[in-house]
Amino acid sequence: MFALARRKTPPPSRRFSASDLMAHRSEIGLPLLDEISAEQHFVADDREAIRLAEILVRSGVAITEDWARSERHPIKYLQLTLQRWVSIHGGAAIDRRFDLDLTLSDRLIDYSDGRAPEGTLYLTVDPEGAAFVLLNPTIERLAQAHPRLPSTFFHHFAAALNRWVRVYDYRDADERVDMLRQWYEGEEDADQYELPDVEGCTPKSLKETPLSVKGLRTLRETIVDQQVNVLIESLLGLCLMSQKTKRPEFTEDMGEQLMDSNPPLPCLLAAFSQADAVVGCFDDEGQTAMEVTPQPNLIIPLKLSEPVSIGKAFRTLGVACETLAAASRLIDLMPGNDDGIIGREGVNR
Amino acid sequence: MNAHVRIGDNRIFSLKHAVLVYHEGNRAFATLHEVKSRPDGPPYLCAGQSVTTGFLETLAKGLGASMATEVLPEHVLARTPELIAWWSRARRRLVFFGDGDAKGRNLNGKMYPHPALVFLIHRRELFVRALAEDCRPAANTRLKNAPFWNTDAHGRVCLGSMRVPEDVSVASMAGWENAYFASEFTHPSGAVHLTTYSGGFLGLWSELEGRKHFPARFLADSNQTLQEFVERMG
Repeated sequence: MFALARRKTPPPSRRFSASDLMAHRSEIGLPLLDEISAEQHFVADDREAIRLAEILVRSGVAITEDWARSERHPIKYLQLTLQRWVSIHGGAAIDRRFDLDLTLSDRLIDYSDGRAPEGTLYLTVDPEGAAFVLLNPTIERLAQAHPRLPSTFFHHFAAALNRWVRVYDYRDADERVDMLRQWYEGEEDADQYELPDVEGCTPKSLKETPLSVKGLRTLRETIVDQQVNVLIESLLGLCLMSQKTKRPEFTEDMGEQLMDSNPPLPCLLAAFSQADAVVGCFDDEGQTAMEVTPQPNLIIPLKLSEPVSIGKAFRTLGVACETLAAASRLIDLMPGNDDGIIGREGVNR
Repeated sequence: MNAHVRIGDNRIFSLKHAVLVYHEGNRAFATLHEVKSRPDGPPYLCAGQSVTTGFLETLAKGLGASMATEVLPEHVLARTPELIAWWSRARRRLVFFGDGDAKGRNLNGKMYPHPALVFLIHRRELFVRALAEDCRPAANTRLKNAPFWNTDAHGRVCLGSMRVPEDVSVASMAGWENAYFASEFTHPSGAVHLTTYSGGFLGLWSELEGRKHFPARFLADSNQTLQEFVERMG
């Protein structure tokens, strides 16, 4: 292509061109961070990290490709391994609804001097904030299909998740109200205290005796409502996943480290409506939940002297992740839950 | 799910925020920006917000410049986020000497009278001075050198393996004091005039055995007032 011949004629009597009238280009722009390191590594003794990394490679949990990505940094390598492990066990689905931290540490309470016994590390799962699930629209839909479906659905949904992480539901709120009532009982003006009406906001259908998983499977055969069928199928998948392996036992050394800690922070708040009494109790408890360091939701110990157990521990973590992912997908299907999705554009990973 | 690895003191610090400072003459303001990262690109700054005093307080707290609100007992002399100084009355205390010195061995594990003392903790370093009189010192009170081994001319104590409390607070003062006397005095710390007693340090403590009170005339001057002592650290 040829360049256009340049105009040789001088411009007409010059006053202002359009560009002269425009404001000068702003020099303010988003600062570029290309040359800035987004991470700083503080390295002390990394022998335990190296030992664990070796075991993870041998047991097929970690991959050698991540070593280059970690720039040959053992701690970073372990972090990438954790990220990858979560990613292949439903990480994307988990992140849609849950805001969780997975930590590999030598102690259960950060900043504490009391570390795990020599050669023991822990994988812990904890929430940054509680996810939210709205129950009423689902309960109403299920009640139309069968009177025992709401309680069955709620019971199995909460149980499957509670097996791995803490769910805050109307039963926790009930306990809170009972406790508050006991505090106020002795006071002269006890009747003037207004307590959240958990009983009043709890659907009556939840009083029904829940069906067993087997009973639910049988009932499903008779359900004609397609949406209800999909919910039951998804719930059965969640139950199956949740029970795929045992949750690790709470050991004596864990108890010693967590002697003065609060209960775990809930990973999920299950409320009947957006601002019901359950949410009220949750908010109330939230005021004091961090006064003392809370226990982790899930603790999976790793013994460096038992390499086989480490592979098993990561498979256990995988089941916990898959359970959370299944719960997240189920909540996606539950009517009225379009709002609980977490936007993660540009999130730091 | 965010993944973290915390083994021993190893840490990976991720860039989360940036503070941009804008100047015009001698005036300035600062904005705080969240840093976000993309899977395949450099991190970038999000829109900023003005830096508030609340943010600066949080930042200072994160850097350790914080102090719990405490009611100060009578024997506290000075308190800042970085130091706490208090005085302790003259009394008899159990003293341990290391077994590296034969004379010291004979003095080990006995009760001796002690002068009133001034303790100061600055960023987890312990300093000790002595007082000529058994009363609360004033800012211009001249301090004496603490007549102890392992304590240098500045009053700085070599902590060694001393098991000191984790925190520096009013509640932990007794713990620091106890830790000091529960450890062994093993050697002099540098060139320091520990006592005016003609028989020297070991002679002094031999002389003190069985006495009820510490003779203040045997304390060497530190050439420092209480005000100078705390100011030097502040």
